[in-house]
Amino acid sequence: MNFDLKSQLDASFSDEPPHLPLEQRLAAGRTALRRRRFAVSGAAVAAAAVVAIGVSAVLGPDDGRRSDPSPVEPPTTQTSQPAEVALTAAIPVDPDFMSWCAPRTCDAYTVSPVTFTADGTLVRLEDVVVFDRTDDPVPVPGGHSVAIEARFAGSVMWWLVWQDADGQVTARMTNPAGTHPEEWYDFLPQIVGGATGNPDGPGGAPAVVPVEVPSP
Amino acid sequence: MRREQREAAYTDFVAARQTHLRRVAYAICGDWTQADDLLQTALVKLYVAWPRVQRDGREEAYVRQILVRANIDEHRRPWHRESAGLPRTEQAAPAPTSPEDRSVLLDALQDLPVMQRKTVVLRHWLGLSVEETATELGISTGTVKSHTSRALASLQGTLTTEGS
Repeated sequence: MNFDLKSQLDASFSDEPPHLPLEQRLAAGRTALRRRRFAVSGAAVAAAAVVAIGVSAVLGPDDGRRSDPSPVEPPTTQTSQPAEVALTAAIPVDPDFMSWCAPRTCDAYTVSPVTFTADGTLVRLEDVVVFDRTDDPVPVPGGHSVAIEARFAGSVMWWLVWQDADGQVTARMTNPAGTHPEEWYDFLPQIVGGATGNPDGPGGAPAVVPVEVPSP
Repeated sequence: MRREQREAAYTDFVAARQTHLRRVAYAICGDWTQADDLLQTALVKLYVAWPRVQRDGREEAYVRQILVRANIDEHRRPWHRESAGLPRTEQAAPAPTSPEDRSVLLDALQDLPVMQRKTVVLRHWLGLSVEETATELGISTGTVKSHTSRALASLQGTLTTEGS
């Protein structure tokens, strides 16, 4: 090699876009950490509950050592399992759906990674990892909605998908960078009502992008 | 580690290294918007793992590995698309360097097959050894050498042609 690649590469960057503000990077990190701790504590509670139930089963109800006759209440499954495994498994994969978007045919538009089938079942594209899912965050008369955080084609995004009484599915998306989860959830009813948010990014309502909904 | 200490150390690291790390992401993917997304994803993961990663002194290696592997994951998807899931492509995206202003070398780099591009970035820009590059990319050292050899030949050919 008779040219200095390192020096040439170092010198190749001249006009770069600005970075996100550091406070936004911190905010995104804090949100992720809270979510992680919540998932871990939920898993610990679930494990403790499983142990308690197991001990109870081994000891039996009539061994004379139980002081509280009330049944053990298991925690809800929504928060008691590692989020990625539990929530991803909760959405079935439709093999036909994954082939809808062939390589390099989707460059001109965005597409929802999940949708509802005609019978209201939520399906996702294969390899989409759903980190967080909230069913019916927005009431839809005669239909239903779902809000998800998902990694899709290399990016983590927040999505709102809803199906109206006629079966019509609509999807909207925003970028978590610079948006607090509370802002996103607070804004969901307005999105269903047609609001598009602040296209310039942080500050006020999240920027909302309409996305294609492929047929499952 | 107290939260204030964690955030101060994290912020110092990000402020000092984000430009370099985003350039690495850009060299790998060739798109500033995607590079921003890759970096943000990596920095969020870094924040979560900060106490352990900082204790081991692996902050930069940790981020770099996420950048490289995230991009690998994307390219392994059966229906990968170049602008997938990037809402900012439909908005007023931060002005990237225009095509005519882009460096001939960066353009040539983007023309390489993805694994050749990554071996060049890791070996000849970031200075990793053959073994480290193989580990980072999950391929054999022999494959690293062959990718590197072909990539450098292509780059040199392209730059020679452009310069003549």
